[in-house]
Amino acid sequence: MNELLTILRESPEPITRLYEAVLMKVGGHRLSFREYVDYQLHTDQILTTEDRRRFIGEDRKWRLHIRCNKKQWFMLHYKIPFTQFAMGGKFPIPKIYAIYDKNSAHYLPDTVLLDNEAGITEYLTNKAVYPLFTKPDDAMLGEGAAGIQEYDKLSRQLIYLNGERESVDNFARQIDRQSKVVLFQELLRPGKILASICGQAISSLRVTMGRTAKGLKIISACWRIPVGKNMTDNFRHGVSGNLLGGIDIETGKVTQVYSRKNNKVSPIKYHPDSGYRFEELVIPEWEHIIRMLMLTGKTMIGLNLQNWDVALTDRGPVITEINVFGDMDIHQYSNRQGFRSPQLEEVLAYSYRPYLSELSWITRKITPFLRKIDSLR
Amino acid sequence: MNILRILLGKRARKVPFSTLREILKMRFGSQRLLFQEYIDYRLHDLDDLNASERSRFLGNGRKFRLNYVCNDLHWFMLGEKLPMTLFMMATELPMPKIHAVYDLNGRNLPGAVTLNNLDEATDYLRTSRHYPLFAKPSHGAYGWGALGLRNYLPESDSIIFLNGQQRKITEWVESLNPEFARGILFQELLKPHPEIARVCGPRVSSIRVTSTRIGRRNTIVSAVWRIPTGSNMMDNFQHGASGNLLGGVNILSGQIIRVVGKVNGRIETVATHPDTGMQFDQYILPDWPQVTEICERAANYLMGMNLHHWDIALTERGPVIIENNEIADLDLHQHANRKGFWSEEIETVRQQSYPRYWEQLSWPQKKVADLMRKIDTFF
Repeated sequence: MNELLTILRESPEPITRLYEAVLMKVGGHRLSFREYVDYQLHTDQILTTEDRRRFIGEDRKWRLHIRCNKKQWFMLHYKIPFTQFAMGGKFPIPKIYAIYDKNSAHYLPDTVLLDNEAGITEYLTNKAVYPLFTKPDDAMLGEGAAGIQEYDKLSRQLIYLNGERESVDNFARQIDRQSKVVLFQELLRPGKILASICGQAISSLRVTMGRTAKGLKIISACWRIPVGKNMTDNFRHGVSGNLLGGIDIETGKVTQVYSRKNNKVSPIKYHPDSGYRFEELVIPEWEHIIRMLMLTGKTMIGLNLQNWDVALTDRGPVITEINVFGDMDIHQYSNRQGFRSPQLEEVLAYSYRPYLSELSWITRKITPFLRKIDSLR
Repeated sequence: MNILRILLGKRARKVPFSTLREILKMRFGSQRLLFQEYIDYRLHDLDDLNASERSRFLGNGRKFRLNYVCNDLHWFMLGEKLPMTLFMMATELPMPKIHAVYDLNGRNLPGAVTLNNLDEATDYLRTSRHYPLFAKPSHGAYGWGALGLRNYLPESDSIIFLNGQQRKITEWVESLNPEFARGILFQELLKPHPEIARVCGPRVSSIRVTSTRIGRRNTIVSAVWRIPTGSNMMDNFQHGASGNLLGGVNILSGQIIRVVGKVNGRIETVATHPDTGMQFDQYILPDWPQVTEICERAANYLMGMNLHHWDIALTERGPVIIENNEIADLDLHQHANRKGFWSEEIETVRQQSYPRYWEQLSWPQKKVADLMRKIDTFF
């Protein structure tokens, strides 16, 4: 209700925009009123009606990805099987040193396996190579991830990247108490340029690619920029305080950087910590990144819509993961452009036949009807 | 008709009512054993098994449900040979080397030549130094579309296959369907272990090893030796249609228990290999300890799968993993070992996997599954 009032109150053409918001809420966009206002489509005077109608709601991500990606390939959502798959192809990925799994059910070549508190403590005090990065196997949006700079033998404490300290015994106990599988992996370091902009926290790109009848294409890309004491660069719909940069996919140039302030996503010119001016910045090794993803993407034959996370490190671009369901808001915020672009339509059209062929009889009957609803009007 | 054959046939057991009760129970109970399968397994005319042992035979249709419960659907990508090879390339486990991939949609494998169209594929095959090769679809079953390529004959622009047949290169490549096959792989032609060559002739023979993950342990529950015969380039049994033989394996020692084949439409025991005349009696498979070790190590990496069906070739360079089947035929094991597939281990792994399977179902599927589970409970 508040959002509807906001549209009526703030919009230059209240009735038209209200009609548009309702249409986008109930149509194939499934853009909630909250999202319509968040994207500031109600006040926008730059985008055309057609441009605005390419924005889609976050909820759509499930259906979009299910239509493009085969369920049989969803194992790559998990970091351990993805890492093994990438190791097979010798793709640049962070090295996983150790895996904690209470049930000892996870294996990875050349990796230490830990299954209890004592084992974790022993590993961290005597065997681990610092600095380290830890994260849960199935983590999303950077949840539960931490960077450990070193282990202080005298105080038996772990020193985090942001300077905070924690007793190694407490850390091991916390991990052993929860049920998740935890990875201990190489801590990636930012390249020189990125370190001068964002400090020592790693910064990464989200590059979304799609398979069409003419091959793989880049659909959208954005740059996730860590700020303050954050050890990860995830935007988390703006809650994390990190920034998001839009990228011109042809050149790798950063088009605009956004931050969330006072509950509103708005452009920002300088990095708040380093004061670096973003204007004219080009993502280092952009062409190399695209070549690398094109090669890697070809092996992901069951995934037609691929959301890659690529860290910009001192050893070049490193693939940190592939998301079988990727958030779309980061693209829409950072590029000020709806995710449902003509390129995405090509991917959807290409994926539709194989998707349909795998459905049960009854679902196949419902799907063409849903497709009509799904189409943007 | 089949019921009458079971109850009144020449060799029918003398207790038709208990037999009728048994076949109906196995047909409509959790075994889902068709009357035809009951006959195929010769449960109606051989008295070598008791009622409890007979009740452990499962219909081949059960393979789907059993594997869907035990194996996470999200891991079924490894049923295709291309992703499975890439996944296993990270380990040091032995697999055949893939030299080239022919696909019209750009499927590829790092380190292998990508053949994007018919011309590239024919050019590749016109290069004599690429031979010998083994061609197989990335996605296929029963050995369909798999062929051994011996050499290229430039004078007639033909390929000579392992069985001596010849075909024009362009004609043969045009007959391939890379889209349906999700890529055609041209890979290393494996050479058989000398001991296998002595018994089966100069072609590769493999073992189907089924293992379960129960708790933290992978355990082999059944194994079958697939024995090629005649001019077959593959060792697949194809429910007996291929003419190949099947050997039951003692999983502790690798010794062959018995060998069977389809003779005059019936599964019969076979004492010697029809081509070499070698006796199967007391035969012990070469490298059996290595086979069990490889299966155990490889299964560790398939975290989403609790029921594995490995095909392991016995080659001159030791056992080599050909593939893991996410859904596999049960008749192989039941014919070869004359033993029902449902065992204590299978039931344990099924029960252990059920919560994960259940978690992935939608609300209406859960309602149906509840009912199915009652039917599925073995009695």
